[in-house]
Amino acid sequence: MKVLKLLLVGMLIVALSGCTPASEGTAVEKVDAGDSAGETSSSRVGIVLTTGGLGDKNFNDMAYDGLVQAKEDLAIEFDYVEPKVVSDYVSHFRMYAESGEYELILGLGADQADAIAEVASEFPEQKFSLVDSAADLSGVRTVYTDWTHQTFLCGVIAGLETKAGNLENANEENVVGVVLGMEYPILLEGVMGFTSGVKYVNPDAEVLQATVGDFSDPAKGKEIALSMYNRGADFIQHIAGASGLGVFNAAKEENRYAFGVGGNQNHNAPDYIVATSIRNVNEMVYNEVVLALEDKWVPGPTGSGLKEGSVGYSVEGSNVVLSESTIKIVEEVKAMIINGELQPCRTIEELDAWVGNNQYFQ
Amino acid sequence: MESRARIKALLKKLMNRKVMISVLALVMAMVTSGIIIKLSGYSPVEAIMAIFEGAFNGKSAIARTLVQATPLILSGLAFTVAQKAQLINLGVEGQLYLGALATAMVGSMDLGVPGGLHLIFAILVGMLVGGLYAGIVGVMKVRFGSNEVIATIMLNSIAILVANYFVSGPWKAVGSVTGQTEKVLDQVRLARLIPHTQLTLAIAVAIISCLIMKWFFDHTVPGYEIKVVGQNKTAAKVAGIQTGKIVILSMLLSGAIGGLAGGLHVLGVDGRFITGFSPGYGFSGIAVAALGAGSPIGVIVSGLIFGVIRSGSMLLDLKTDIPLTYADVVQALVIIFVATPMLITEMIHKSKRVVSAMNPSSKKGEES
Repeated sequence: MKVLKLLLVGMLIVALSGCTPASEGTAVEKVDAGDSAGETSSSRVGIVLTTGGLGDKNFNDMAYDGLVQAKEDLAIEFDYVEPKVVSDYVSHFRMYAESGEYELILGLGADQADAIAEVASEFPEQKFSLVDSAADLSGVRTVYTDWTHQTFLCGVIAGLETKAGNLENANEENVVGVVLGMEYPILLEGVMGFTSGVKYVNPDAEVLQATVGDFSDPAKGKEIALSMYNRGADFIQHIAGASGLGVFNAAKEENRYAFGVGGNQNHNAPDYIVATSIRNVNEMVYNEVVLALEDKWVPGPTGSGLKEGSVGYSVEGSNVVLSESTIKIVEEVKAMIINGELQPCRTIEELDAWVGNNQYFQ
Repeated sequence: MESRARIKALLKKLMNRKVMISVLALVMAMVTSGIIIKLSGYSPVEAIMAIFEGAFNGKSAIARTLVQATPLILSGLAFTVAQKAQLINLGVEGQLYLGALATAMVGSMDLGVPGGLHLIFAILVGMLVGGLYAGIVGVMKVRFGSNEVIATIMLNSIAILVANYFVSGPWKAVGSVTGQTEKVLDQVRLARLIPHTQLTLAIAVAIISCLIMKWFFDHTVPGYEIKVVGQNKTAAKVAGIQTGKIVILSMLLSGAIGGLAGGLHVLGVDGRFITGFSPGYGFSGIAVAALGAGSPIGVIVSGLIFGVIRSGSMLLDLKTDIPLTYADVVQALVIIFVATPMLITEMIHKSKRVVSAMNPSSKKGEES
């Protein structure tokens, strides 16, 4: 009886450990640790991925791609670890730092801030960079992206197309929408980026806004998107993580359009996703490696936007064909933001004044 | 007098057999996992070297190993304590979660009491919450005859989801992106034994808890009664032991130790409750208990062994493409092999026969 019980428990354990997100599924090749004597001159970079791990088709995979690119272009070697729990971040950072072999140690995501700060205080000579955090940590370079830059150009596309109504599934109404995952201050900036983008080319448009309250509830995301489409919206930008997948489903069901966010999501529903408000985590990671190698690395928080190429819009992989005039305007606006002529609006309080002062069609 | 000596000798024999099974199970698990590593295209020798280097090479590696071992020892102990009364407490994970949350909340409140008192109070509240949560199952089993295996495993989900709700909602730290509570006060945090490591007195508390439980089972009446209930419930009833009370008591104790594991992790490692802080410590406790052969002292040893594997596999992950999940594979294999003692006894038997076949002059092998 006891043996039976134990066996049962054993099988449960196997089943349970089978449930943990599998990282071995991704066919990524571990970069060789540069063991041969001839390669000792190449610099090494270590990265602590998030608990999501490789195979997320997003944040972690993009960071990994950035390092692979750096390895090809800059002849570096890199190592990565995939932590299982937040509690282990400190140990992983310390392991890299103690070895003293790494030119640069990279972290990913705001939840690594405490851990990287703790280890950085013990190794003042070591370069640490934390991607996607705006925290001001002593001895750490933190890199964050400008959400207003990321969503502004998709806003411009939505503003132009909802007014023109030329696309097959666009409607008469001058209404678009944004679906938000959670009301984080930084994500609200993303909402403002999209809204001000719409109003820059189409000041009379109505921009609906709603919050799912969850980043992983596609069913609720879909409900919200459906109600927006029913209220006349024909373009919806989501900033809602996995809940955004529900927005795509709603777009398919209602024959309307949506915008992706983060890594290129156009392939999810190429006939309905017009473009993605893209954020190139790979570029951000790559840039950190370049800075470290060229001795231009300095600690402190650094924002990056359209100019640095870390964010933008991408229509790659979408079957929705935008008119040449739309693309021309979007590229023109992009150039204006890059050379500083135009600043997207950042807060809702400033929006009305901003719309009054900034108009593409004078 | 004579019969007593005989019983003692019998016990000793039993112990030895149990220890033997554990050792062989561990060896077989390592060998099997080595084969898996080989089949995945890596060198098992290199892997083992990386694990040992990661676990022992230097002060901070050893500290990391002990830090990893702490929750494993305690959750192994929690499982063992329930097992003594023939109860399977699969809910250690949930008890650990709630204990951690309670300790973190008490620890982050300014109670206006001195640090030491505050610390002990925070830990005790964590143990109380963990204990009561497991105690519910004890009562359910005694009063309504529910099966503790199913009840505890189901309560895990409730505990984890409720805890996550609170730390992502009402108790979430101001300005934090992820679900976590406010930091506990500095006076409540366990002091670090070695600077620049996470090693605290928590490991000592874990080991002392095992020693206390050993003493409890060997030298106290309730401890004895738990063992009797575990060995033969009917006999215990006939002997006048209130089996219901004993079942509830063992669940309370088991849950309290689970809560202690969570509380110590909060005060020693993270300084707050963070969503998803446990990689399944509560479930790993089952493997620790299985390898520890149901003895609190064995749990110390097996908890340390699993600590070595976990800590070492961090370096393994860094140096090779073998992910941290390797530690879980070893853990699962250990359980499978411990749970099939017949396989191992058979192996011992066979190997003896092989040895005797090779030396026909020695008759000893055939006799055994």
